[in-house]
Amino acid sequence: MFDLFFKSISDLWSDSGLLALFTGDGWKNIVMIAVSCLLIYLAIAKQYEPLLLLPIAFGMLLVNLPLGGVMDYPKMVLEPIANLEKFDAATHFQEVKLMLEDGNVAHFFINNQSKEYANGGLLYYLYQGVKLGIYPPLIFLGIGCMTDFAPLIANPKSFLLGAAAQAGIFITFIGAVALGFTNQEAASIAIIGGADGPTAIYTTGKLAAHLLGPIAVAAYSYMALVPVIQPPIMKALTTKKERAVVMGQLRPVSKIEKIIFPIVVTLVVCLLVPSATPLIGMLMLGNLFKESGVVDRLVKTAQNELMNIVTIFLGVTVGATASAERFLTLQTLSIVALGLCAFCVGTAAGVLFGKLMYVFTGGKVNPLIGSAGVSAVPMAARVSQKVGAKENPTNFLLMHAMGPNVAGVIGSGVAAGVLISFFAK
Amino acid sequence: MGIDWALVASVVITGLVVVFLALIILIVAVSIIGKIFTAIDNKKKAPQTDDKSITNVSESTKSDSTEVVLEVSSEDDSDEVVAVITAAIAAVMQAEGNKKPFVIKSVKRVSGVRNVWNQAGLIENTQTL
Repeated sequence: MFDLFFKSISDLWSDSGLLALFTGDGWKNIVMIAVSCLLIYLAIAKQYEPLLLLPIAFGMLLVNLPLGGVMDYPKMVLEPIANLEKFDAATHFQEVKLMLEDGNVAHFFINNQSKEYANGGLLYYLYQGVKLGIYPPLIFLGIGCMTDFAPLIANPKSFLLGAAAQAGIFITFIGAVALGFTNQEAASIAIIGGADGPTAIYTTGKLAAHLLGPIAVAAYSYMALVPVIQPPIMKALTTKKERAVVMGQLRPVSKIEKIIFPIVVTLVVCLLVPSATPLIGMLMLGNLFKESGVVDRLVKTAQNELMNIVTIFLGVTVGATASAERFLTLQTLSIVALGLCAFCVGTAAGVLFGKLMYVFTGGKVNPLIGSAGVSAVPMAARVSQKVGAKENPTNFLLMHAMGPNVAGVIGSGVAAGVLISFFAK
Repeated sequence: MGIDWALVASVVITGLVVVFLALIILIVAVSIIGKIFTAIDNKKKAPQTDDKSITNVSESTKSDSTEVVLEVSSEDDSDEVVAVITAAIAAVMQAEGNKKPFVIKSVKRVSGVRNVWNQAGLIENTQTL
């Protein structure tokens, strides 16, 4: 009686994750659990992009619980079919044909009755949406429904600032290659400079899926830190006089223009950079939904329910890629450093291009709106507004900064398309 | 494994050129569309504003019964702006059923600083975006 009890207790103990935590490489999992708890703290207490950081951090926690198996691959057991004529498909065994090199065909069946056969973990299946590049475009659909491109349509020159701020991506690419990353990895790290979470995840999923965890954490952390990172760079690169420039009022934009805009952007961008089609196409579809004014139900679903569901799946599964053996490496530190560099260079390039526009327009453009070109909608535009308001409290740059801000989303989509077309296998 | 710097340079240059090219094409496209629609809008609006506002203004200058005084005039207000303000007042008065003719004696720009409540409202709006 007691023997049985002790045996079952000891079996339970030897099968428990707790034992695994304290044996072998279990300490790495403990470190990762601590990291995920820190991220949960940042998401809740400091509200750093909580909508994504919280699921990411919890996904990280889940995947680092030993033996939990939430990200385990499915295990299939293939058995050769001994007698093909007697094999009955109605027994629910799936038949697999293998084409051999010598031209013969070997017949197997998937034996789902075998002890070795196992389904994958829950998050493994949800993760396929990231791996196959499904979730980020769906999030872009929602973003498109929520974005007002009117400031950009009223002042199309803002597109230039959105393009200039992408310089951070390409400069960082050089740095990442120099630090020894492969071209695919370097391109994925560099895209952090686009300050656009879905774009970064989409590109990394296509090019270097093993780096998804650190890149997503770096991208979302820096996006949350935009109000801390950008102002010193903006102030260092501009004079007091430039920061105080009051910009003229934007012209009103007609409804037809707003409807034509997403169609034109789709045609131009997708014909020029076909690999940017999933991202830009969905962004513009969402925007067309919104501006058309005839599909309110679809707009509501895309920007609320659908986007929230996808955000949960995306966050948890991206976090779940950050297993100890992948995350606790020197590479992660390099990625964090390079991501910061990408952000800073992007901001600086935007502001410097803004200064150029200030000179060419005879002082009509406030260079501060250039920093909003790094996307990070609408945080970066709010930073331009706040830094401008410090020089002149009655100066409202927000709407002017929204132009480069939304142009930055399109710009980083194009940049991602270019990198994918170069390096996708 | 050596680094292929030629490839890196080509990625950087191609990337920047393509991003700028795509967005410059968009600038041209959006500007053209914008100009076309502004022109169409102007054509549509022109005949409507001509009829009503001008008759109102001319009526008001002939008679001298009601006087709407908007403080002292400032030198940089162009005639167009005065005409627009006149038309706006005429429209409001008509909407309120006040058919008496009026005279605008002067138009004055108030100080650029917003009052406390407007300021608070604006700051609140911009911060909660």
